[in-house]
Amino acid sequence: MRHLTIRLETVLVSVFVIAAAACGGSSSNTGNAAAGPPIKLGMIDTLSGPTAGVGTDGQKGAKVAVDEINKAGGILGGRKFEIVPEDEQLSPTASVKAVRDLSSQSVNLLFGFTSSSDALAAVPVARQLGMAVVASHASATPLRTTQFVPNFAAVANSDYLSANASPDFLRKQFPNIHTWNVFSYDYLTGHEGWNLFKSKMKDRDPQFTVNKEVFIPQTASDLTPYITSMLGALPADSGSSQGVYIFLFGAGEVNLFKQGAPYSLSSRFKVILTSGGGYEALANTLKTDTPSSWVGYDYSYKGFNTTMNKQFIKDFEAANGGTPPDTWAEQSYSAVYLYKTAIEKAKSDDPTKVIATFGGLSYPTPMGTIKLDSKTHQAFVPLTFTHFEPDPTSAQGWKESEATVIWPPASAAIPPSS
Amino acid sequence: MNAVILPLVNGVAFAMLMFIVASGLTLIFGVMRVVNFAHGGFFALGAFLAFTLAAGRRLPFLEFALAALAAAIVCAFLGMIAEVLVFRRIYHMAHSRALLATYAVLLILQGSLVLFWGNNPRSQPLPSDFQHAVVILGVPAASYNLLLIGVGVVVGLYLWLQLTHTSVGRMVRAVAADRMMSASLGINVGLVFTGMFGVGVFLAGLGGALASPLFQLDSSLASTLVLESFAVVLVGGLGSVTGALIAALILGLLNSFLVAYDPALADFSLYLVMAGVLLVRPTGLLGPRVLESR
Repeated sequence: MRHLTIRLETVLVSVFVIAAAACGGSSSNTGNAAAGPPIKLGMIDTLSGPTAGVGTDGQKGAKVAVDEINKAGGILGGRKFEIVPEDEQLSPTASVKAVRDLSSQSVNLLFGFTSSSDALAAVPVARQLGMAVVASHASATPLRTTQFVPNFAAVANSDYLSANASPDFLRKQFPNIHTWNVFSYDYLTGHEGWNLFKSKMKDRDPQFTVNKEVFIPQTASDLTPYITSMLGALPADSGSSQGVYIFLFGAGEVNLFKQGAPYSLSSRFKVILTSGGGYEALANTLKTDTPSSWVGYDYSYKGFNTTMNKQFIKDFEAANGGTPPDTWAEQSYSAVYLYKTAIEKAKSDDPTKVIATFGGLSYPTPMGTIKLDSKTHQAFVPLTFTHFEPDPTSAQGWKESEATVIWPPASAAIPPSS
Repeated sequence: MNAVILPLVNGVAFAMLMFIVASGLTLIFGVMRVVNFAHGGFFALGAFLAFTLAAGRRLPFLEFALAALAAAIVCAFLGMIAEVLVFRRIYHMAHSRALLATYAVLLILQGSLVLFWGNNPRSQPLPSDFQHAVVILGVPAASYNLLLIGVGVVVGLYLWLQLTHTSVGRMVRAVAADRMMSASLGINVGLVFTGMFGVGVFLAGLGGALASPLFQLDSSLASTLVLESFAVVLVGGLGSVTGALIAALILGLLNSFLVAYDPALADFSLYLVMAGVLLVRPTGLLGPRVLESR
């Protein structure tokens, strides 16, 4: 019996040793002892709640980037990247707590942030703690101007860049549409985006007029009063003569189209332009009820013919059952590559040295090589206008029929300082 | 005409949806004296179950109605299990501990939604016969909103008849008024509790199923309409179904007309009415005259 026990112990120890060796040899998340410990990137993004899709898709994109980099040998002589996710919870308080939690784990290189309000609360705290922050999604201009802090950089398009590009696209694509309406959340980014849009449209179209502005509280669940308020202000021929700019996202945007469907809301406008990322998630939710609409945002997988984009799409589809990447995924993917470039340039993962490289840094993305503005650390990214429409013949119920890329003029990369 | 009919129909329709959900909440409080935070979880569960039973397809109304009814029945069954396993143990506790227990059930329900349906949002299309607007006095009104008004009226009438004109209703009212006396008269109080909890959760599930074509379905749905429903219960009076109906109509219509005429005030209307009513009449419009000290 004793003999049998010893043999059993021997077998168990052997299995453990073999398993440990196998893990050490194959895992992409484990550091190479000779090269040094893994470099941890803290990802603070919405992983629950109505905008969970932003964070979960972003996480998928970041994982593809990390796997690509680690598979290619890592950085700084073989060190691997590792993602440490935290739930932003669409709450400034939760975001600040996430920053502190990551700091206590010595994770000092952060990226993410779905909400600009969350980023505005968290970035100054991260600065006090000596951490770097790359905004993957948050687009509010104050992050780049009045409340800019040097430990911050943004791979996401800013509202300012978007507002510059949208009128150029609309004047080219729909030269006869001069009257516009808006559905927007009643919050900082919504008002700012719409005001910038109006201002830039006035610059480009002397006949530009506004018909109706509808601002919806972010907490509103019944949108019908807001929808009928808009419908009441539309002339009979609005379906051929007016456009609507939609500055909603997540459940609010889906609910707008769902609750507006009985009123044929989408057919009451000649052009629907939405300025939010992750429209694929909306289309996947609404399927054949997806309205025929244009979406202006950073990235569309159809919009870029670069080698890196092809590789990104291939790797992403392989890891996610054939689903192509959306904007959220691309932004997180690019944030990881920004850090790779910055760390290699700094020759260190020390956050202070990494932050020092942000000004004017050029880094690779699926859209091409992108440069950060030297003052605001804003990435000079294009705006891709993609046309979505229902497609009952496809399995997913919708399709992206065309994509147009607008690169804003170089002057637009630097938002006004106040 | 447009400026009156549209807010009126929208306001009453949303009021009826709030009423269906809030009537379940107020029934549970009226009989068991428990403020059930898990109500929103059952609302969301009803919506997801209706989506699954309808396979996310656009169905004719009768098939959708069957799916909604089945979803509400499953919710009621799960609610009764929760009553026996959890809620029965908290009736004698202080309100603060009971609140924590119901909140725990809410978190379990939310976690279950993510576990079974994932984080990706879903959408249930409107029934095929209720996709369009119908014209009332020259104004287009969403036909599904008219359906909600009809269902709300039927639910209200049914509850009123059951509670006031049947022996079961008398038994329920007796238990709500005095548990000990009811038990001493031979009424099976435990059975009444379980049954009424089932009815309350049935209404939450039915509300969720009926709301499923109007909202994106995700785990946050558990907090959709719940704030409004609590406001309806507080304004109407804890435990009063008629009060819930009146409060739902006041809040629904006020919000709808404010959005049309003074949008800046609409966001506050819920809180303004709550504060106003509670200041003047702390027990709500039709609540008991004296608050229990328990």
